[in-house]
Amino acid sequence: MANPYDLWLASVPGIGQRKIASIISACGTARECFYLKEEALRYIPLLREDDMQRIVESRRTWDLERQWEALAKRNVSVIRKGEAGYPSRLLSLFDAPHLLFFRGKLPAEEQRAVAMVGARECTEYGRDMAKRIAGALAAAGVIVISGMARGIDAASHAGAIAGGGETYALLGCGPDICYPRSGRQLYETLVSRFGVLSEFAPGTPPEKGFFPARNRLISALSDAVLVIEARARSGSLITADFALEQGKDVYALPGRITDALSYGTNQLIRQGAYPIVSVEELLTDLKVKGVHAGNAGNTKEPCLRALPATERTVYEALEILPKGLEELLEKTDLSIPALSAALDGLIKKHLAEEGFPGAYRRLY
Amino acid sequence: MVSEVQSAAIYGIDGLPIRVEADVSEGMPMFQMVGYLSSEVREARERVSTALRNSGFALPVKRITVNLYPADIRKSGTGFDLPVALAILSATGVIPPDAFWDTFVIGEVNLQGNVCPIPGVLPIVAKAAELQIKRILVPAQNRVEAELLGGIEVIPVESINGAVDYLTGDYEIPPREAQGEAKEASAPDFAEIKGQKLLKRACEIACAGMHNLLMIGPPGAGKSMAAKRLPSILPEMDRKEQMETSKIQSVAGLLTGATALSKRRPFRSPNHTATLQGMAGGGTIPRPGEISLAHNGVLFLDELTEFSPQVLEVLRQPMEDHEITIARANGSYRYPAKFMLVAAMNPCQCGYYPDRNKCRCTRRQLDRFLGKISEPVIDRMDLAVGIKAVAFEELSGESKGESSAAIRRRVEEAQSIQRARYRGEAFRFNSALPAGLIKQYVPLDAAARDYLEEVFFRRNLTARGYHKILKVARTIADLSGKDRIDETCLAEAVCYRGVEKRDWEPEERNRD
Repeated sequence: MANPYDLWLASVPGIGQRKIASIISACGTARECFYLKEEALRYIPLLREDDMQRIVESRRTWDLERQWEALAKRNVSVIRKGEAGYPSRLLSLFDAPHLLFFRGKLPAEEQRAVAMVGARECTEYGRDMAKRIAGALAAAGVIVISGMARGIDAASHAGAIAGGGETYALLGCGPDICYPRSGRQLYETLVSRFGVLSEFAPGTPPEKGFFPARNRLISALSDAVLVIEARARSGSLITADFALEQGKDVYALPGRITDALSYGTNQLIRQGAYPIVSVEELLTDLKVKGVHAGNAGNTKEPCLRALPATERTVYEALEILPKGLEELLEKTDLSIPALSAALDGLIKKHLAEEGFPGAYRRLY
Repeated sequence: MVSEVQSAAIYGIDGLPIRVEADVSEGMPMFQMVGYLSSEVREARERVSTALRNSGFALPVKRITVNLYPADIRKSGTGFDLPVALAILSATGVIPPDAFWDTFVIGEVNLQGNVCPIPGVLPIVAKAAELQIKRILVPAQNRVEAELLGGIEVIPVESINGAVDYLTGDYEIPPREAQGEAKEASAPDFAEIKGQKLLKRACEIACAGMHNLLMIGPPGAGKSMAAKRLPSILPEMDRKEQMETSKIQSVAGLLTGATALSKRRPFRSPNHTATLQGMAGGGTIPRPGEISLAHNGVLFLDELTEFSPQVLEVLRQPMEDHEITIARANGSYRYPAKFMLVAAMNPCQCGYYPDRNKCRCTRRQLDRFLGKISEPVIDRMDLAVGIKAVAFEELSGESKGESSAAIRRRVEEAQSIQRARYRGEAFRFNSALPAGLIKQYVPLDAAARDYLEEVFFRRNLTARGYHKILKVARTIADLSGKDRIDETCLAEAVCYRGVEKRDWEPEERNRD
């Protein structure tokens, strides 16, 4: 069982997982370290002079009792490395978190888990595909793991929830903090139905350097990593690197070579990642049985013959990415009211949507 | 002996008759001017005495008092120099007093005794004509402007001596220099815009119903190009409108060089660094601002998001009242300000959202950018139109669009329909239709009502958005001569529905 001393150790600023591991192996427990003589700290490997000072300083000011109670008040659970229930997938990490904080529950061990990551500022294509793939995975009983960021992350979580499956988020801040703040609704859903996990103690605000660390856990908790959209030098590629290091399969969603947001994923494919060619084939590759191929298939064409002629013309002029009315007018050669009526018809049939004021895109 | 010369000051955009009295009498030699004068009027004392001397008239060594009547109105401007000089000459007997009957005199003089031009000649001439004054002495360089109106004899004077010669009967008015037939430089025409069907149509609808128009699009898509052409499809100004607009331009000193009253509506495009005063008007010497210079025409705000919120805020009252009142310590001034507001903005800081190939703005940057939009101004935009970036080939292409004249004919037709319909109401155009009267004036047939209801829910419109669509649909119907609003009108109106900030948040919208 994790104890108040473990919480203290996890909260000392500047002491990361590797130093914690070193302290534990030198002292045995966090409690030993808490009462260790100042001179003896010197003999712990990896600790530098300033680390020792920080430890001493925090020992002086840390209120063991109160901080421990605060955990419960914040509805945060904690589990220590080595304890039963600690995700075994993390154990293979050389810098596995000493303490794992979470709200909600932890992902089930025996279920397959897939990480989905990608750009925050993504395109409609990426958002769509993330939703659809996550939905299909979730429906097939695969856990979807992501980072709760905007864009691809949020769409993956949302898709998994819509698909009726489980989804978990790993945060770059304390698990009691909703970051980004705009994701409040998603955060509440995750906390109440699934789980939000973090190696950072409650109350830790997000910091730039925390996110790559968080990415390694996303990948570690999963059996495979799916990169949906990424620019060159995107943070999602870091997750893919971790996946390779950890021996996980990396899948990438291919895109047009003219799209900046597909450069990173196409590049991954060039380097040997599996391209996601269709949802069905992805499920086969992941060795899971798809049960819900209905709306998940991206190769399925809606029945165009049933559409009125103008709607069909307009539908054919639409693309996945939103197109302005002006462009559609030119392409279809329709009058403005005719185009507008046809778009309305398509929206009503859920074949198109308005992605931005005055810009429309097809949905299938 | 007391003499009197009639002159006028500018008050707002109207001339206000001012009588200049001069008294030359025995006493301690001095020259004083009274009558609630601003400093530039008081300085006339120095200018006039020197100018008179240099024109060959010695000031008598007597007590000279000049009064500007009525004395409770603050007088500013330099137009009183000439009347003061002539009043003194009349008081000293150089000019017979009856020479000033039915005559207005305005003009600034310099030290050499030459008469220099002043701003605001047109409103003064108009006032003189209104008061049935027979003739007016104006600076020679203001002659063309003064003659724009007609109905009053304009006497151009070059110098104090010239004025004296005329008033003592020894002067012939030089013939007006042969002017080429008053020809306005050819206005930009919609025919020059290739493609952009939707944008052009939005402009047509905006003009037909006097709706305010918002253009959203990437840089270089032709937003300003279209805006500049709006006056060319608005009906020409009638005589009354011409006078109003020209008076404002005259007061602002913009009328120099005009050879005829322009029928073309003004187009003003203030830079986004415009100050409150530049926009609304004012200053210690009150001057009309951009909103008044755009009176009867188009006020174009390019880069709407860059304007300071206070400057945009000041637009609200004139948009309702069609005039602006500027209160100053020495009185309040009213400037007319009835304009069509046209604004352009980029969808985000870099201008390319939602094209993620070019736009790398983060959510927060987008939010910050949209945070700069002034809600009340956006609310008043009945039409919003997205503009597509134009490829180079399209710009240089051959295809000629419809000419402004052809579009204007339709606009005029639609406006006359509105005038007939709203006879007896307080408003003239569909854009001003109050929410309470929409039901009465925008009759929907059954199919249209069903359609609109569906659109309302599916597109998640607000009540305000709903009314905007109806008003615009009314204009579209007027443009095609329809009495009732059918589905086609509504379907088109939906294309120009006004935008709201939430439209930029696809994630938020998709979630529900």
